[in-house]
Amino acid sequence: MLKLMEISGDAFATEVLESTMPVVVEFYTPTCKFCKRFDPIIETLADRYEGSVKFLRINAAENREIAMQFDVFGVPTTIIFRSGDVVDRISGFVPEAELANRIDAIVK
Amino acid sequence: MAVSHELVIIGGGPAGLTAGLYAGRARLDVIMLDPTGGGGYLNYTESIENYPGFPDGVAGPDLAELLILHATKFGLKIKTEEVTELVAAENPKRLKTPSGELRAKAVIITTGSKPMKLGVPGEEEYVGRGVSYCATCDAAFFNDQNVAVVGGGNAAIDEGLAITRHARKVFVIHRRNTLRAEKVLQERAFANEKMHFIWNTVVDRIHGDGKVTGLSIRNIETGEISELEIDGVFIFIGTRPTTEFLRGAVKTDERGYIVTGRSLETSVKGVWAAGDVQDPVYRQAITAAGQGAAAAILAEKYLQQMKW
Repeated sequence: MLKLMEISGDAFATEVLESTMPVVVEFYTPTCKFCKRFDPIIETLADRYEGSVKFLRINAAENREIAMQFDVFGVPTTIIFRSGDVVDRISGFVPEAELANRIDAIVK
Repeated sequence: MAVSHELVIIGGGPAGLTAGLYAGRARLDVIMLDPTGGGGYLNYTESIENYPGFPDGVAGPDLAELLILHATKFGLKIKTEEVTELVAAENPKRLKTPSGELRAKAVIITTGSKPMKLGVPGEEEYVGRGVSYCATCDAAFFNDQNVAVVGGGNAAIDEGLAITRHARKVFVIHRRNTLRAEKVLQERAFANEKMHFIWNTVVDRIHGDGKVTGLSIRNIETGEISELEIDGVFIFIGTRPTTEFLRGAVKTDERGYIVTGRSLETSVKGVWAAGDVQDPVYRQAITAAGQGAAAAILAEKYLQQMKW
């Protein structure tokens, strides 16, 4: 299983906005246990979509500027980017099948 | 071919995890299904000060972790999956999930309750953009900002106090003129200079421009409508039992709570319910845990007597 890559605000432009692949970014905070429970789902999907979608996580408490830039005031928030644009946004914990459907809608 | 178990526990809050602990120690073949992997409402709770054995209180998510650790140590398996349908009338009972079907000789339902929504314009739109149901998760986003808390019960006041560690001001909006929260919490709330109380008032609308910017509030005594500028709103107006997926598989009352007797057995033999899902009265982590233990003991006896 892939270990989910963690990024900081500095790498956001290169890793997310300039990525040639669609990117799923999970905003989390260390105090949010729901976010922790969300990790296995994101990791499973990262495995499944390897090579076609990139998966990253970012600590929203430590990277406030990025969180504010995308109006993230709650976690987990999952934002899907394509060509630097926000194409979908999911607030809160969703089951694996739901998240996969949302990703499919963008990839296909 | 559906996988069979002796006991399936649906839902992983304190009731389900305690049932799982007892069932694991009874060496039952037991699995728990929970859409978030366990913890239930504890995951939403900043601190729990009335769970015996923790005189200094314990963070809800930390207690969740401890209960998960304890139950899995004795053999409980937890699967992060939602049950979408229970066919209770058949034996074995069938449980449908997005990835397939499970069978169980006995079932304990501990799906707990979910936070109620206000149901006002702007609420759905701004979830994660200033509307929150979890102070533990989201309070840190409101450092030095103004925040509203809607509700007057334990959750509203306890979480409101927790938010004061981050926010500049916390406006408690309550539809009555007194709080329902425990007296010890009320004393703390009234002594906290960051807490401001807006009585006899309801929220009509949540405003925003990409994120929450304010509320339209209405005094229900005078009818006066006013605007409150805030950066976030935390909603703690109560909970409702998570029983939609049952669709009549076991008997529920008019509010959706599963109907159980003293034995915690539901209207269907071999199916028990414990914790908030069947309890409109106590709704405490400790009572849920106690009921979970009782349900597991009864399920074990049932399985022995059935001589499958």
